[in-house]
Amino acid sequence: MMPGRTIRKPAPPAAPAERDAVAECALELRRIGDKADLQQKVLNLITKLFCPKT
Amino acid sequence: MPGSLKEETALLLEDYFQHRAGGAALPPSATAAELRRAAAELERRERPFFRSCAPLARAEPREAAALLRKVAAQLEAEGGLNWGRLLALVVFTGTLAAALAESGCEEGPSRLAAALAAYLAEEQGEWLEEHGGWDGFCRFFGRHGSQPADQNSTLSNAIMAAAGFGIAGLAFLLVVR
Repeated sequence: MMPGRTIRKPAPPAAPAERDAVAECALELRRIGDKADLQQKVLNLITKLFCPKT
Repeated sequence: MPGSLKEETALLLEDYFQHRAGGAALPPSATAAELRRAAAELERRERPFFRSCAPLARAEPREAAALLRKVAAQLEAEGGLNWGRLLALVVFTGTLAAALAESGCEEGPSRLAAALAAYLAEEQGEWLEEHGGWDGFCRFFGRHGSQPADQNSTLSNAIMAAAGFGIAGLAFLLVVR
């Protein structure tokens, strides 16, 4: 080991419970986001078709 | 310029987080107002889920920022990003920021705003630029008037117009038969 140099430990792997929470959260956010995106796209389309001035 | 996109994003997020925590200041721009409105609407619609996320925020903002990056990476890993997913991520981060602030960590919201702004501008900057940046966000979510009342009125007009076409079509079919 070189003097004065500290060994950086690699970050500990995430605990299984945290991994599960992250995966579940990401999945739910994806579902919520996709739903909001689709709803807004439909609203934008309806508005474009029937209220072209707005 | 990625620097300016990052700064703009951080300012917008900080404003939304402060507003969500009960700040009474007026929105600094039309984009900030649109982000506040769209985020509040999504948060209201999906309140049970976002409430259940609050305990994920640890007392340390660094840990919350690390969690945010992991969730963001997994969120866009399948199917990439879209405006709805971006908005859901902003509301999720707002939930963590509010939980940190409630637990006494005052710098939590600004640290999380910086972390999300860095992720969006540095890792998703290309996508954001391609989709018009925050102006694109306003065009996507806010083209029907900035007030909810305007939105309702636009939507009712659209529904009335669609119903009108339907009734006219039915009348035409009855006359023809």
